Amino acid sequence: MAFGSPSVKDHKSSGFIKNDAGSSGNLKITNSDTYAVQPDPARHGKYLWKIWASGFTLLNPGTQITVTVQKVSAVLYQSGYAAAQLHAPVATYDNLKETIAASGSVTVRSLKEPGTTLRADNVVFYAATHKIVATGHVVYHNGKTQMEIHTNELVGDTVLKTLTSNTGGSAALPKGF
Amino acid sequence: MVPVQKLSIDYLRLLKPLFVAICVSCMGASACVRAAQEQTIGQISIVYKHFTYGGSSFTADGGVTVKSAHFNLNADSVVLELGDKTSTTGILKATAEGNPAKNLQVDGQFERGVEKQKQTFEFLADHAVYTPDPSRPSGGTVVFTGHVTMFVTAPDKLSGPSETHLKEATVTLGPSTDPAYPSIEGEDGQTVLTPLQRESK
Repeated sequence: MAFGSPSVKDHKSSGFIKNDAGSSGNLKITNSDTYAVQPDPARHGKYLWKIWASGFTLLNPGTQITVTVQKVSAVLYQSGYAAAQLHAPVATYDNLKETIAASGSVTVRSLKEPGTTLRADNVVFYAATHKIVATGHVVYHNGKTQMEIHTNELVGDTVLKTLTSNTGGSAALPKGF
Repeated sequence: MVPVQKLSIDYLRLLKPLFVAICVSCMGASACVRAAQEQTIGQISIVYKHFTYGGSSFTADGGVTVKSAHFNLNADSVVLELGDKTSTTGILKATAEGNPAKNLQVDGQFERGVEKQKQTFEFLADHAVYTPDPSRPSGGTVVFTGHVTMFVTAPDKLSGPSETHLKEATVTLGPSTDPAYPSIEGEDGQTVLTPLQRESK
């Protein structure tokens, strides 16, 4: 499924900048009021993600669009509803991979599972499959069971309810018995 | 005509045991709540190679070590059914499995007593199931089944570890400060042990 280009909205300047897929040229926007949205092709009026950031760098060499954003705050959607909130120093959107790759000290907070959070060096959000892959110093905390998991790589759904890891690690239950 | 006996009901006499029963129930319930509140909150740490976590079930496999103040357990796989914030226990049930293909059994280790009187219990079994008992402080049971072997060391009583083969063994957990815990119950067992020889004066 091809998502096409995201819409970048800039309140301060022209108000709405649409980057046409296939056109060449780069676009750089530095404005604290700028945000981008990716419509969900399967759900009219719904989104796959929304990103607020201090600066956008939009590269558009042909069909591939890469958007790099700084000081990112994003809402990630799953099946049309807001599933998680992501914060990161830097993130890159790739329309061909249909991913948002966040790096630095990334935090993801589930909007469906209260108190459930994920911290990692890198987090990739796969918009098409609603999957999150976290790597590097991953710490997962479940708000319901209070379980805390430490690992190097973790794959989960966007609401951080279903997880799996093959890289080994440790888990702790503070409540124990 | 059948004579009808006059019935006289002593309500106070009937109500008295009922009143006592209610009082005892209330005291019992109060004690249960108090016991739950006094429950030792011990952290459990789990080291795994692979895990899946969905909803309130945590499954670790490929070699798992579970450590707590009460026991150490090694198994091929462990499934934890987890409670939520409102639960009095973090774990509702835990199941550990060995792996016959790898000739690997569940290995559970417990300690009782301190220093010279310390006893260690080690269980090897195909399966183990832990169930908490929130009515007692740090309460719970671990039931080992399938080719169970228990080793007990008691340096002040035995010259070496005793070896017991059992059909099933139940370990009842309680506060680590209580010398009565863990208590062990076994079924259909056969034990080999060598008591410590005391030198006669």
